[in-house]
Amino acid sequence: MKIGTTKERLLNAILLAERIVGKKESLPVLSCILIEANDREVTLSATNLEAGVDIRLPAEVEESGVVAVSAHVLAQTIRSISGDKIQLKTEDSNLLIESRGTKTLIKAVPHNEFPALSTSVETKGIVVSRENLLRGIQSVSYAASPSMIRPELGSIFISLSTSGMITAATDSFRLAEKVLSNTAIKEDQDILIPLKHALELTHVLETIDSETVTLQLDESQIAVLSDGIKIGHVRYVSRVVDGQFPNYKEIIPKSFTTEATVLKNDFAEMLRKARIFSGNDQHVGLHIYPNRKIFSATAQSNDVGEMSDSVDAALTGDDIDINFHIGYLNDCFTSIQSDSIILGFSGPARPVVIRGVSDANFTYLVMPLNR
Amino acid sequence: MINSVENERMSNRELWQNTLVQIELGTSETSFRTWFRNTDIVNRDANTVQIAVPSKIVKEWLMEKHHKLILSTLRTIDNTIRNVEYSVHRAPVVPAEHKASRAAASPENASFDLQSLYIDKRDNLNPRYTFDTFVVGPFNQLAHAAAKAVLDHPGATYNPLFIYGSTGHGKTHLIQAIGNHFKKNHTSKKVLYVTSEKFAVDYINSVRAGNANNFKNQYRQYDVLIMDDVQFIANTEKTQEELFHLFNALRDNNKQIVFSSDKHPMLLPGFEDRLKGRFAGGMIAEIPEPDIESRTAIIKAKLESHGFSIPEDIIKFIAESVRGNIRELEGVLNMIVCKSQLKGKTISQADVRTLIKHNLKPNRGVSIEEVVHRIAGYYDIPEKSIYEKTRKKEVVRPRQIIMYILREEFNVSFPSIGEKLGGRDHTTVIHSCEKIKQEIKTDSSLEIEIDHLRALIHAS
Repeated sequence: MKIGTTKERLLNAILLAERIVGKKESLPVLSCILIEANDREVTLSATNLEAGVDIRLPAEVEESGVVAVSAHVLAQTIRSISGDKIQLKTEDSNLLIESRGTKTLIKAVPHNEFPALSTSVETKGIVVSRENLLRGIQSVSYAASPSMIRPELGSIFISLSTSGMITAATDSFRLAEKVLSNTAIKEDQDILIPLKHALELTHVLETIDSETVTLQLDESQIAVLSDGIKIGHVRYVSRVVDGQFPNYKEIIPKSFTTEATVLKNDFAEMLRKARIFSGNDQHVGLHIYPNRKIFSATAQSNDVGEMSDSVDAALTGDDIDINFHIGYLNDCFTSIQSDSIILGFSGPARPVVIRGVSDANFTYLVMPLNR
Repeated sequence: MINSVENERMSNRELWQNTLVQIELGTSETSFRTWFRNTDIVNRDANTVQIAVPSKIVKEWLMEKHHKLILSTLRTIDNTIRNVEYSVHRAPVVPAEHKASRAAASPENASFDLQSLYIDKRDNLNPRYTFDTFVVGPFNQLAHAAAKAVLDHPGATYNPLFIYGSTGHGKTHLIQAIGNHFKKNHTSKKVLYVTSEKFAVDYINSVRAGNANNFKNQYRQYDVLIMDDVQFIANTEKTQEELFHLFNALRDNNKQIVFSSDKHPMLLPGFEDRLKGRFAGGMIAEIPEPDIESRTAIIKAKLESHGFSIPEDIIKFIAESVRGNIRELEGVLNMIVCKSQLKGKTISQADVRTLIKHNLKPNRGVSIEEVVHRIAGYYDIPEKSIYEKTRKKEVVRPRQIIMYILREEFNVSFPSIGEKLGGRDHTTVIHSCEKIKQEIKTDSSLEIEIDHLRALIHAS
């Protein structure tokens, strides 16, 4: 193999692939990036068996060939190179990297056990906006369960339909839903991507620069394809969960007994203060008394002390005292663009609904504490 | 899934463990740990073994590189095995270390009651169809009782339950209600409602995709299988064979099976005898055409569900005029409800009449002569006496009934009825129709008689 390319191109591709490689793989080749050169293209692939990526970038190919080298070493090496042009070639089946005076030789790993990322060309694919998919996943991903004990709760739910894209995630303590209605999709499709791979996907989506991506789905795998200028042709594949996401719409309260409208920053600041005094369990009590125009928070712990704080808010409905886990409340703020938020309560044992003012596209539900 | 011969053979787990031990000897340790970790035999039947793997990447690797090794190793243990199939686990295997991580977020935090929210698309049940909304009348009493018996002793009393009747008589409602009942009261039971057409399509697709075994397993996992409109798989040899095997597998394990069709199983054309015999082997219940009382009850129930009420006489009128098909009845009611909401006033009989004009049994090309012929035949009087001027009592009555039926059922104009029936004046016809109409109100035997005649005419 003998190829020449620019540092920037190669580095972008390698950084993308490096994130995917298996961390604790027993098979050495799985912590490698596979470099394949043929015709006028170079393909870089990496996989951790559950997910994988391959990146095709244009390059000058003088001699075709294949080599697998440690992703970590390769990334470090390319990053430290100062020259613009880089030449890669195999020498005694090891990889020799040359660039303006620098010469590095990386020990290659036998690549015959490197698995091929399957190509399912049967499905024609669904085209979606890259930005929408990215925003959709990012807006809800923190609400997914970090464990895969219940696979559907450890996954990001993506529902594609003619009315647009909906993403949702829940760990059964809170739930986030994002509606992206400006993408029209011709066919209905529900997808469950395990959280870990969905986060890898957001990184891929952030790195590539194409307007749209194509989703190809089969019974056990989703492939996300993109054709960008910055990196070239990227294909990310991940296993999907074959399951049923709960019909969460049922649990979103339609009407509220108490409503509070506050500035997002005020509320966040209030929670920050409460966090200091809440100790390890991060509990905060919210007290909303519309008649006396009081919206306050209290927190205490035996070790630290106690606090109480109130902010200006527009309030309607019945008085309510309700306790929450601060982390759960905090999580949603980055997903809300509006300056003000509405908190809708429907009783002491029912979830609070948080939305941005005049933004019906994002909904966040948090269950209160039991006491 | 439990095979009768399973007991004599090694369990799937044992078989796979023994196989893995041998495979491990022949491969490098790292390679073995990478490719064979989290694999399992999920199913075995006849001579095919199905192995579940963690992802498609692993699946393709095993198929390509280790298939021969796996198959030959399996065969050294069990030489009846001829084939190995691979499938991806439905969900990733939970790594042990994850279970402890971030130990159960916070036990004092309340959680959503998600359990009740899994409307499994797989069971296809429409929650609208329940026993609460099912109107029981004399006509469907038997079918309803049989369905209830199935609920009490699933898989035992009546297996299979076979419900048949014409379209719109409530078969689907009844069998879906069975499914919904199981789903609600026995959450552990897996229920599937499927139309025979969907079953056939699934089967064909699985054959095409080369995973017929998946198909078998998928259907065999259910505790209650409800198949609607089986007549649609007439003349499909392979699909019927598959249904036959599925039937046996489910029945042998005391799983409840419910079928519906438009005909008695023995009269189903294009079905193999062994399948017909099995259809008929449990309980067969017909849902015939609803009688007028039942129709009235159904109208009332439907109106209640709409939160709407209309006068008794109009209900009776609708029950009399729209017959047979309950679906059609529902359509008429929806139309009436919509219309009256639009107009914002209570609806009159005349309004209803114009609304349901098109829903009345259309004149299916039955000629006046045909009606006369049939009714004369029914009363056993010479046909031509109807057209004659005779005023014999045995003739006058049938003649009036003919006029009434021609008018009510076929909307023939009074003058043309008079003209066709021996050149009578239209006032004579009006008088006859009125007379019968009045008599029906007081004489129920006449009503039944006319119902019979209607059925006779439409039966052509």
